[in-house]
Amino acid sequence: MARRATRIAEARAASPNILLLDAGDSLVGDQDPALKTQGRTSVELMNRLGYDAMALGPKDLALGLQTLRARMVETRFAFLSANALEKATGKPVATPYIVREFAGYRVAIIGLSGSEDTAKGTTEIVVQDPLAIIQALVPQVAQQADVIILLSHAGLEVDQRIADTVPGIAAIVSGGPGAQAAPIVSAVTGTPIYHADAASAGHAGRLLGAGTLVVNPGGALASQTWQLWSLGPEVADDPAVAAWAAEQLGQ
Amino acid sequence: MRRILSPFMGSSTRAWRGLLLASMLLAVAASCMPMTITNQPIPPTAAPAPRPTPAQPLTLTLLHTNDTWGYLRPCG
Repeated sequence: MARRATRIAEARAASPNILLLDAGDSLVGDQDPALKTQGRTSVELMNRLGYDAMALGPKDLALGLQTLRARMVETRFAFLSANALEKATGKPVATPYIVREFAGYRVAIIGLSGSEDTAKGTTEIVVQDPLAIIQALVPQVAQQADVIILLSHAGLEVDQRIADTVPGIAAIVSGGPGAQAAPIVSAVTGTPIYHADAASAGHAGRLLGAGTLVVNPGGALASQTWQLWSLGPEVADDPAVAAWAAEQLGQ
Repeated sequence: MRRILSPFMGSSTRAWRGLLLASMLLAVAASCMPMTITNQPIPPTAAPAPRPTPAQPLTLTLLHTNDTWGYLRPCG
């Protein structure tokens, strides 16, 4: 992730209009210190890298409400989910969406959680049908934003259905299984789906996606390109982040 | 001989009474003016000013990760 920090800094130096997003399942996996700290080190890392938002995936939701609330207090970015609700109260577990402004454009980022596997980890959270939720929410958010980005851990199949049936989404940033070497672009709406990485034991966080959207003044997507950056040894470590990581791993 | 009613001339009591009456008539007339105004169509409550449409296209870069599992190493 010290290489990720270097790439992010390079991208920020090249363009003022950057959103740094995570599509979920990035708080804990199968290793310490994330497991031992229940995602605290992950949040601290993402704070350091300057993330704007993260969708809550099933592994994140499986931490349970109390731990998620503790992590939310620590974040300097937004946990997003439009369809994860507290079972007892029906209240959203996290913010459904945020709106940021770039060069006079209001850009909304909506978060979506997957409906599978969540119940295995916690009985406190229920995940609503992502397609139905997003079909209802996008027209509302469109009243407050010129551009809508969907940050989704609902699964690639669901994301494709959303791309085909819900107009008005500029791009979908996807997580979970099904990483793609190139964007899937809906033949119906033209919405691209970016999916950078697929985690497995010993392999996570080694890829960084970079989608560039050109949006017309009316809010329509004019063009898009996407690159997948491998964070191999050819990328220099960010010294400060590398030192911080070494300190965490030494605990 | 006609008497001139004036606060400055003739019977001061009557003159001041006349002035008072004139003032009251003026006040009544002034109070009617808003009624005249309100008989006109009331403009709707001012709507929020429309946002200016940006003149230039927006180029927005989405840097994104997923499923990093909180790895610090091995990790990019």
